[in-house]
Amino acid sequence: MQHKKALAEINAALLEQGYISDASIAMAIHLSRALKKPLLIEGPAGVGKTEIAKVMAKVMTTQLIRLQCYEGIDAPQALYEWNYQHQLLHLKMLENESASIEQKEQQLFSEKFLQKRPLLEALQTAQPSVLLIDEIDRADEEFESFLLEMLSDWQITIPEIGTIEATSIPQVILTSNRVRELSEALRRRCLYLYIDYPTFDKEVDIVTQKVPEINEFLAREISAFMQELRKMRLEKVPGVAETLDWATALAEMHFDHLDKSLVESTLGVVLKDWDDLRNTQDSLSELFEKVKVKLRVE
Amino acid sequence: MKRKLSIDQHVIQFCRFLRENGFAVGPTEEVDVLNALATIDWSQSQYFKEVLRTVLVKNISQYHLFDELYTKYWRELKRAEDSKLKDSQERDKQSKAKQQAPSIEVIKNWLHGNPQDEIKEVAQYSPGVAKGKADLSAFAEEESREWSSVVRMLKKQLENQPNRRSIHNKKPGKISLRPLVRHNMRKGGELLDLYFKHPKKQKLKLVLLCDVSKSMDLYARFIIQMMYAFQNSGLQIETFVFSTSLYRATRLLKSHSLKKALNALSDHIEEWGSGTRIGDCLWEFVDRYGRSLLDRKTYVFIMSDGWDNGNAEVMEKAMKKIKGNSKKVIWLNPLASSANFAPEVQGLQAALPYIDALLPATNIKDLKYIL
Repeated sequence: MQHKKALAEINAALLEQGYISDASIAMAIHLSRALKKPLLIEGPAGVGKTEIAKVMAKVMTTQLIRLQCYEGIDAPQALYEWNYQHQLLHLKMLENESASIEQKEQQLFSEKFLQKRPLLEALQTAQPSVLLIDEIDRADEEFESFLLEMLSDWQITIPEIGTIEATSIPQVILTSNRVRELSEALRRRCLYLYIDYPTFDKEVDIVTQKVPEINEFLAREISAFMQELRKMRLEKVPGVAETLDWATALAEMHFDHLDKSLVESTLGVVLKDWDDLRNTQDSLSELFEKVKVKLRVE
Repeated sequence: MKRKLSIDQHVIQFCRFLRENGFAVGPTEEVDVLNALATIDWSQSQYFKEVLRTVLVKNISQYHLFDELYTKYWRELKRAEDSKLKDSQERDKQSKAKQQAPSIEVIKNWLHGNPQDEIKEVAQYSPGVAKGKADLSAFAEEESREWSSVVRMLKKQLENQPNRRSIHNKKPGKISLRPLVRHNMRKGGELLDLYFKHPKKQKLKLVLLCDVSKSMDLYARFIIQMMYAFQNSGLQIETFVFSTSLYRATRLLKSHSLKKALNALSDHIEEWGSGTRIGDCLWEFVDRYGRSLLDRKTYVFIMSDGWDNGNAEVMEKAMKKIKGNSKKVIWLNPLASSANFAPEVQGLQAALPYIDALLPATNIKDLKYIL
C-alpha cells in the first residue's frame, strides 16, 4: 500500500505544482528516488522535460541546481575553478607577513578561493538537492565521460585540496533533445523516461490547469486543433508551450470558440516556420473538419 | 520456456528475451528491476510493466519496441502453458517461409553455400540477368577484408575534410596564442605552460538509406554487404532500409557475422522486394528521426535507383529537409554506371536539386572510384 501512497503523493504534488503527470512519469520519478539513480528524460522540445526537475525540487522542498550544457563545456565550467585574481591579491597581502611558504600555499589553495560550479555545489548541499543537467546531448562526448565518472563515484578530486566526498547525493535529472546519441554507458547508468506530445485529454487538462480563465469548450477546441496540426507534415512541430501561448492569447482576448479567421490571424503564435504557416492556412477548412470530428469522438 | 516461474525467474527470463532482441540488458539491470519491484505492489500488471519499462528501456527505439516485446513475451508464455508452443512455432516457421520475400531467401541460400540457385532466382525477376550476374558474382566471404579497407579509406577521407575548428593542448605543434595567454594570465603572466594548436578531427556521422524494393533486387547482395561493412566499421552510423515503408536496421546489422545479420534482416524486414514509395519513406525518416540523427556533421548516403510510385512533391520536400540539415547528401544509383544513364525517373528528378553527388554503385569497384 505504501508504494500506492508514494505514487499518489508524487502525482498530487506534481498536480499541486501545476504539472499534469501520468503513470509513467510518476513511476519514473518514484523509482529514481527509490533506487537513487539518475533519470534520463528524452522527448521533443516543449513537452515539459525541464519542468519535471523544477517541480521535483518544489516537491522535495529542496534546491534546484541547474547545469545548462552546450558545445564546448568542460569540467572546470561544470565543477570548480580557482579564483586566480583573488589568489593573486591575497598573495600580495601576504608578502609582508612572516608566514612560511607552506602556510602561504595552504591559505592560497583553500576553499575560500574555490569557485564552486553546479556539480560541486550539488555535492555539498546539506540536504539532497535536485541536479538538473539540461540538454546533455549538446555537450561533447568527453564531457559526458567525465560526468559518468562523477555520477558513479559521487566524489571529486581536487589536486590541491584532495578528494571531496558528497555530503548528500543529489537527485539527478538529465534531459536530452536527441541532438546526438548519448553513449550506452551513460544510458545504462540512468533510468529512462520518454515524454511524447500529450494525448488529447492530457492536453485539455494542461490547458485548463495552466490557463484557468479559458472556457472549457475553447480549451477542447484548441487541444483538438493542436492534435490534428501535429499530424501534418510540419517543419517545426508545435509543443505544449505553443498550445499554452495560444490558449493564453485567446483567453486574454475573451474569445470563446475558434473560427477560421481567428485561427488565420493568430496562427503565428503556434507555427514558427513560413512553409508551415502557408501550408496550414491552405488546408484550414480540412483541419476544421477533422477538429469537429475529433471533438465529437472524444 | 518453463510453465510456472517465480517473479525473479520471470524478470531474468524477460531480460534474456530482451537481450535476444537487441536490448543491452545485463545483471545490473536485472538487479535494478528486482530492487524496483520491492518498492511497488507488482501484483498490479500496469505497475509491473511500468517498472520494467523505466528500468530496462534505454533509448527511444527500445521505448517504441518495448510494448510489442512485452506482449509477445506473455503471449509466448501463455502458449507454453497451453503446451502448444512447439506446434505454433512450427506453424510460424512455415508461414514465415511462405511470406519471405524470395530475393533475401535466395541470398541466404547463396551465403550458406548455394550460389547456383541464386542465379536462377535472379533470372526470374529481371531481364537484365547478365548485368545482374556480373554485379553479384563478385560478392564472397573473402571480400569482407576488401570491404573493410574501402570503408576505412572512406572514413579517413571524410575525417580529413577541411575543418575550421582546432583543438588546443600541450602536445607540440603550432603555437596557439589565445589559450597560451589565457591560461598563463592566471599564473601572473609567466609563460609556464605552452599551448599548441592542432586541427580538430571531424566527428563523423553517417546515415545510410537503402532502397530494398523489387527494382533493386539485382543489387541486394551489394546493398547487404555495404550496409554490413559500414555498420561494423566503428563509424557513428544509422542504417535504414525502405521500400513502401521505412525500417531502422541498425541493430539488426550489429552482429559479428554476416550470416547472423542477414538472418536478422530477413526475419524482421517483411517488405523486402515490394513496391517503392521513396518520397513517403524519406519523409518518414525526416519526421521520425530527422531531428535526432541529422546535423551539419552528418553525411547522408541514399542507395536507390530512384523509381518512385509516390508523390513527387513529398519527395522534394523530404530531400529539401535532408539537404538543409546535413553536411552532404550522396545518392548512389546502381543505374548510373550505364553509359546511357540520364536521371529522368520522377523520384530522382525531384531529388536532384538537393543532391551533392550522384554516383554509380553496383559493386565495390564503384565505391573505390567514389574515393
